[in-house]
Amino acid sequence: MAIEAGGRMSWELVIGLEVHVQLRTAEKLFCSDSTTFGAEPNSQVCPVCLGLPGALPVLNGEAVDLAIVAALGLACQIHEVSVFARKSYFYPDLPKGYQITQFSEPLATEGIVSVQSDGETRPIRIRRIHLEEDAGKSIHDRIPDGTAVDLNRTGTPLIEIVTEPDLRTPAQARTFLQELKRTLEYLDVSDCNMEEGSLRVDANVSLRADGSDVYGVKTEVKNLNSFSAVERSVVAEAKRQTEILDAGGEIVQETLLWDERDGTLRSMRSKEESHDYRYFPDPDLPPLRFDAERIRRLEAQLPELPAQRLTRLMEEHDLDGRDVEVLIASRSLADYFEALVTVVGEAKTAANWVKGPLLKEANRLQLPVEDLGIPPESFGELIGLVEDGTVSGSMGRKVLGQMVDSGKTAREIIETEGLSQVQDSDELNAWVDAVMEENSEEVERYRSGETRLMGYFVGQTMQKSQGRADPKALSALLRGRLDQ
Amino acid sequence: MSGLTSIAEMVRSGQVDAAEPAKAAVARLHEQNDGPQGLNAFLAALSNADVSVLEVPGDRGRLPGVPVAVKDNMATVGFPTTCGSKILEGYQSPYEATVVRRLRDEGAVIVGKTNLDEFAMGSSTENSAYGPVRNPHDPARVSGGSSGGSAAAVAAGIVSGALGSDTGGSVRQPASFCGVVGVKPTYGRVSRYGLVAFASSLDQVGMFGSTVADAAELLQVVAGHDPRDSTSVDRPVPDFSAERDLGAEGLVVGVPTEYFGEALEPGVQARCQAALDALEANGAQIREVSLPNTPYALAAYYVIATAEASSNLARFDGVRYGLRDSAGEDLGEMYERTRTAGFGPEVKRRILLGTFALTAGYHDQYYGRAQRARSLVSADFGTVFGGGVDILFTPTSPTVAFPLGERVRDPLQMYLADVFTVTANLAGLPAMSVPVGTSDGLPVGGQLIAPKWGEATLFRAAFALESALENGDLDE
Amino acid sequence: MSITREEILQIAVLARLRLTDPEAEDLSHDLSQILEYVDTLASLQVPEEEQLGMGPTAAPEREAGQIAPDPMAHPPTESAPDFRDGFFVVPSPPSLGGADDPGGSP
Repeated sequence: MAIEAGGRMSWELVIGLEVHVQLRTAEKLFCSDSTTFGAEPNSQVCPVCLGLPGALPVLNGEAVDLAIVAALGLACQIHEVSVFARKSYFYPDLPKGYQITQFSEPLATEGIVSVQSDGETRPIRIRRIHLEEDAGKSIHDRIPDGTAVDLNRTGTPLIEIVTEPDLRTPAQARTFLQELKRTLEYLDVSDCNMEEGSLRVDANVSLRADGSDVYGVKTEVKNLNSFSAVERSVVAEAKRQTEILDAGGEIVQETLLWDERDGTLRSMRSKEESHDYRYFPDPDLPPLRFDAERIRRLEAQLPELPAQRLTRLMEEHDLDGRDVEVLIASRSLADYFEALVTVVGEAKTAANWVKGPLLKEANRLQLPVEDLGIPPESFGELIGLVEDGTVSGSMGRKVLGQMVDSGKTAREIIETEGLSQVQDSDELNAWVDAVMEENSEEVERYRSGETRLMGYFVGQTMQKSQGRADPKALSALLRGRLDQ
Repeated sequence: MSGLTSIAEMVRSGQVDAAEPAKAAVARLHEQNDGPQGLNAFLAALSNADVSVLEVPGDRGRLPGVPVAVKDNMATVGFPTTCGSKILEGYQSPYEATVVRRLRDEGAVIVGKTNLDEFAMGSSTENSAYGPVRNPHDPARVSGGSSGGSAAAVAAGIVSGALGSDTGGSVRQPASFCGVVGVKPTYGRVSRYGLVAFASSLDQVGMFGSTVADAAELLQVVAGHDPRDSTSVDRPVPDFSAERDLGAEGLVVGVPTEYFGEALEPGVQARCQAALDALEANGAQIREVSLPNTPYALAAYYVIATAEASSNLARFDGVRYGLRDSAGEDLGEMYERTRTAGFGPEVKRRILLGTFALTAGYHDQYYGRAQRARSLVSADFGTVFGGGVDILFTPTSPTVAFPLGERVRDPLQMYLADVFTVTANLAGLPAMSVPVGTSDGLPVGGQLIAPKWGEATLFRAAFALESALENGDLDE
Repeated sequence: MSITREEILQIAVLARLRLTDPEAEDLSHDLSQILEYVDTLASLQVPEEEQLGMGPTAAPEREAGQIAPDPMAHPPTESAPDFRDGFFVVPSPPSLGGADDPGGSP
């Protein structure tokens, strides 16, 4: 993306992302404590993750498997030998005074994630994926005269995913993250929940003259709590850097914190400008080694990726690709759709109902479909009632809204409010009588040849019936009455 | 003084009440250890009152009722674990080291925690924050270090066996200074879980015994894979004494020229030569060999050990346990004040050296080079052992125990005392020090080094040397 | 190689140690002496290949439930210098938000 400013230099925005993802393991990376979120503070700790004198790390095999799975899903080169390293710094939520991570020999390198941007497919290269342990939590505003430290999270397995600086617009960054999250969810390696902290993002931002192949000085943006925060902070930082460069200044390499409330960036520059993490291989852990067989086995068991699911659903159910894309936007939605197909027995009907009315409800409430309180069986019941003519399609959509709001089943709502479709000719005729009386001019016009006014009469009668008239029966009846 | 096994037999057979050996040991302990003229070998111990009400099962394991001592850098529940430092004064570990658990499971009674150079850094125990340990043979001299307390406890006859730790000679050198047996197993033979780390790739728990058999018995009890230590090797534990009866007959003993030179005190030289002669007289073949990279070993050791130590000691920050100095205004001040007040000068010196060796600018030049030098040192041993040599013999230390205070102001001099012992740690080989007589009344130790996993050969040669000494073969 | 007093002070900051001027002076002397000794390594022809590892060749991996968390004789809170309401308490860092490190933000 070229940023024009004052008609002089044109700057190209260059973005790279560092994403930390918590792996969905039962136990921590180097000890057996539980990783369950939300426990009482300092209740999921042991000598190892507390960094007690004499304690030693023992690697969690499940975490290694999930890391390999993630690397496979991101099309990486997986290294059969990788090395754990110590990264040293002092902070109260880092009990050992070092983090066990991977430095010069990571688990995987050279992957790709494809991102749709402006109608094009852009490959975003993954530079590396490595395993590391999470730190604990330091809470600065809980105690007036100090900082409160909870070490439950210490030692939770993470993979760090680092991209090459291949992103060029804030929107691309956002799309990349959505695609990354979707892939990791499909692979079932993480909850990918930014609110709970199981997915965290830092952005690296720099500018360079349009057409140049030399990278500019990059800054790091942290404290991003949502994908839209990533997008907005990158916009803000690009603007800040542009202003400096346009004025002839230089960008200082620094770390900036994003403030969500007022949409600003604050420099984190401290006394120690640069960190010397003094990386060296951890002498408490031999190298991580696995063979090609393990990778093959995990690959064979890999959960279906979005691209594979797309193809399968298109073929199995003869559905249009664009429709399926909508239905597989998230793993939970895709799972929901497939469960619904089993209940309803027919894919196209299920697809239409999900793509249209259900997603509309989901958007209305800003919730994912699985949190609407309408399991596939219940939704299937509603769809059945529309298919068999008990209620009209448009009435069905209204009922759906009520199901979401009240938590009642379709049947309960239809019965309680008497919403079932009317096919009875006496009732229908009564409504038609009223409509024809109120619209005698239109009746005349219809009878003198404006047959397209049929739609108008149908609409009026539907209104009169409060949506309960069976459209088919009504059409037939109206035709009969008007053609007299 | 009975060996560990005989105590065990007496208790098991009912000849002696199960708590009796521990009571006697504790009585001896307080008699010899306490007070300004005492050995100061123990930092914490059962009192006579404690032990008078102690319940000891008489039928549990290999060592029922047998009193032993444990160096104060191994986690125990009940006694504090201070590592000889102010920063852990009074620290109570909530869990126990695997080796301690194994001793207890076999019925042993831990009578106390022994004094050491702070965080195992030193060769005299003069770096302890709680005062040095006096050598039982001469109270004006050091007992060696860093496991000086454990060595002295055995030498003084308080216990027949004790655990220590050996990173660059910290079991073997005090064993030689105190005239007892001291063993460092192959790296990975014994669990380090619960041993407060000094240099993770060099540390091993070691054992002291009044006799070779005592040391073998302790190793037998604590050795073996531990799933809680990723550097412990999953390998069956053999009977370490199985080759005892083979004696020295046919044993090919290599003598590395680099270990016999001007640095050796004449008395040490003489006793070691006598030891070799005795082995030969008993059927061993003595062969001169060379370990050409020996001159680089000490330098490589000090870079690697201090680098790992600087990282291992970062956890002592006043946050979760140990000393905290909260006089400052913020977190940064707390860290600095706590660590400055809590660590002694030698520990600080090594932390600084180690930190320096790992900094971005010097990493390759120091840490990187030292690691590669390490493989050369290992390769030397491989060549020699691959060439038909069964075991190596060297002096354990260039000198006998030196006077208290003599080396404290010269760190480099102190480091040079480790020159013969660091190579076995660098290569991960099993090694031990066996008494080979005295020089001017002070004990001299001879060092045996065996190939990796060759503890059986190590003990075979040690038993042979020990009986030669008993038979008077080493007398002039 | 020799280390200056200023370099010692910089390293001390990394190690969170505070040195008085005389201490820094002495230490720069001690460490220079030691480093001069260590510099003998410079003349060594070292191999380029992978270093010797100590212990097992490969990191052992545990399965879920294979090793229980080591039961503690007392909760970690008992050894803590300052523990309130379930949290370890420390003085706040000089600049908030984990100024010195990546791990500071929740």
